[in-house]
Amino acid sequence: MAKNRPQAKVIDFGTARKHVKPATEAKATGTSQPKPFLETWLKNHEDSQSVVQENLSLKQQKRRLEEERDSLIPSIPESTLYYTAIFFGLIITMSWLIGSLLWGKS
Amino acid sequence: MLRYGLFISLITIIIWATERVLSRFLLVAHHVNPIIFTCFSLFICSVVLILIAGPGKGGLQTLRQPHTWAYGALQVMMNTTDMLMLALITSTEASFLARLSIIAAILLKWVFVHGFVPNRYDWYGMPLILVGIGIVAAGLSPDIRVMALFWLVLTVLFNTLRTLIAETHPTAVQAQTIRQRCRVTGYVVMTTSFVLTVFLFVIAGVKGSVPADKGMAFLNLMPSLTELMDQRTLFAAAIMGVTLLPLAMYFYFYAAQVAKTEIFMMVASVQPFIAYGLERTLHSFGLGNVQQVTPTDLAAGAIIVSGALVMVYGRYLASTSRSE
Repeated sequence: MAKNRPQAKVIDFGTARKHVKPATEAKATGTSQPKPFLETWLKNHEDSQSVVQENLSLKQQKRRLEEERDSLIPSIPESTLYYTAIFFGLIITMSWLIGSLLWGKS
Repeated sequence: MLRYGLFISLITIIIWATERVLSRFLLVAHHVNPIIFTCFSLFICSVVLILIAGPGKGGLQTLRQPHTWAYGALQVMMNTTDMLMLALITSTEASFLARLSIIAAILLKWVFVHGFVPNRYDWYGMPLILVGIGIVAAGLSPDIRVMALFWLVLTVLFNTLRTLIAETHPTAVQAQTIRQRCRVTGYVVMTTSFVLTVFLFVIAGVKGSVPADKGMAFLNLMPSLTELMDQRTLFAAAIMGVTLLPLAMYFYFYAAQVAKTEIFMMVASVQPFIAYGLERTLHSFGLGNVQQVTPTDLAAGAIIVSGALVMVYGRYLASTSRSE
């Protein structure tokens, strides 16, 4: 009985995803062989999951952008902030000291 | 490690005491403006702290926190009221009286921090500290006593609130290394001292444009444009901001890392005596005046320090029993 079923396809769930061709690709190559139900189901499930993930990441990006738009402080790299702070600090310090030498009383 | 922690804590306390004694000397002998001095020295100190820290994570996150702005404002206000207090009393007396912050911290934590209850040793130490503070306050000259105590209460209040905010500041709590702590503190102090600088210049501009007889009482308290450009104040603040202030903050962070908090607090409780030693040294060179400090003040100081040590000992016992 068992010998009569060598063609029966055993689906290994661990590797199934790797072997599945995307539906669009299958159409493009023109292969019209009917796909087993589980393979199609897995493919659809994978596609829907990736759409969900994409939507989630888009939502996160949108939220982050909104937060940054509301914040007074723009999002800049940390190194830029560091050099800006140092430059700004030195400019203020030097101008105040030079100003006191020019216009201040001793 | 314990000896190293003690050594670093002692260096930190000596730097703190030196900073206080020098601030008083500059105030009394050179008549620097306390608000401008505080603001400018903290601004320069922040630049040095950011330079020490170097580029890295945490800067932007710090600036976005509302805690940052509250902490910075309290830091500036605390330094200003401390300077105003030092204009009236000696650094030694101020250091003794400032121990009131120990009691204020415990009471505020008891009210606001869930689950915090003072231990047995706190109840032994607090009356001792109060008695000592009472004796020092009674020894102050009657014409300055009320004002000195007023500035003391404000300093203690700002300091305690600042500590509470620092303990709950999300970025400051995450900052683990000394460099991270320098970076966070640097950005915090820079933003607030800059805002205060702008505020001072705006007020000075308004003060200059309003006729003196029509000026409001509030404006009279604020520095004028001439005072904002006072060379003595600015250069003294620049020296203090480049040398002692960043050193004091850096060593404090270092001490907090290598010594246990209890060990550091224990060493910190003897700070008034170090301040007294430094003031005496300055006095022997003909600088400053410690004649205000009487033997009664020193005895009261000993009571305050013993009260503080009892409380620290209680914490030490609690921490050792926890670790066992």
